[in-house]
Amino acid sequence: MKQSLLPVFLAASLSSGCLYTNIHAPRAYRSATPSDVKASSSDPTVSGRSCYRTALYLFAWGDAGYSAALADALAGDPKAVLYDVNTDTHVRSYVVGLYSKICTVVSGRVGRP
Amino acid sequence: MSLLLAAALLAAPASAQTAEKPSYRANGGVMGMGGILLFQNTEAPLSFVSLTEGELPPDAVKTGPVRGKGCQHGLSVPLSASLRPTQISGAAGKGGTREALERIRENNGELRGLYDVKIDVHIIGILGLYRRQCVEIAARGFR
Repeated sequence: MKQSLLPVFLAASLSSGCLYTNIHAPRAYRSATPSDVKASSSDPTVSGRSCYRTALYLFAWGDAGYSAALADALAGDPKAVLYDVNTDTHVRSYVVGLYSKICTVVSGRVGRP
Repeated sequence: MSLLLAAALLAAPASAQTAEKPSYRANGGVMGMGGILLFQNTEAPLSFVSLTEGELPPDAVKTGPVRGKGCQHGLSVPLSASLRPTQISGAAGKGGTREALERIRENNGELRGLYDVKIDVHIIGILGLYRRQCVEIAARGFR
């Protein structure tokens, strides 16, 4: 029974392109503007990133969501607010994509609420 | 190991099938099911204009961070044991912003609204047979 099911599972997995996926991807984020916070010219600029990885076109794992990237950017001061924010996607791919790392990079200035 | 490599090479074209949409089309979060779709009853996120801190009403009382999510679930069952089998599939679930916001309101009492809203998509897929796609809202609330 097990032997007869294995090719079915394998075929299904190959047709979908992935054996196992558990990723967070960014969807939407409306960031603050300078008028939303107590902004000053001395506010530091910080950057944070969150990443997921794929291997062999079959596995994908990790958290590249906005929440994780923002938490990383504000790790030193979680109660602060990020404003003047820009977000980018950073992709690194090796050996025809057999291993890839896809990151969400959030940069902005740190203001007080 | 050789089986795994062979599987990877066979899977490569499947993962490269993500066609680019025209720029005028909104990128909806509806879970795409392959094969013969027998049934689908899903709700997915499309857009959500949220508040920033500066747009809060003057009498707003901040209540801190809140979280909520809504999920779509999908099943695909292969009909044969070939490498590119015909599949039957089905999907259901409320995975839109409306459901996620309802969960937040349920868990946080008399919340008037949200600000500093971050929306992510959490995808879990197992063996290509089961797929779960959740919209996750992380925000701060106010009364």
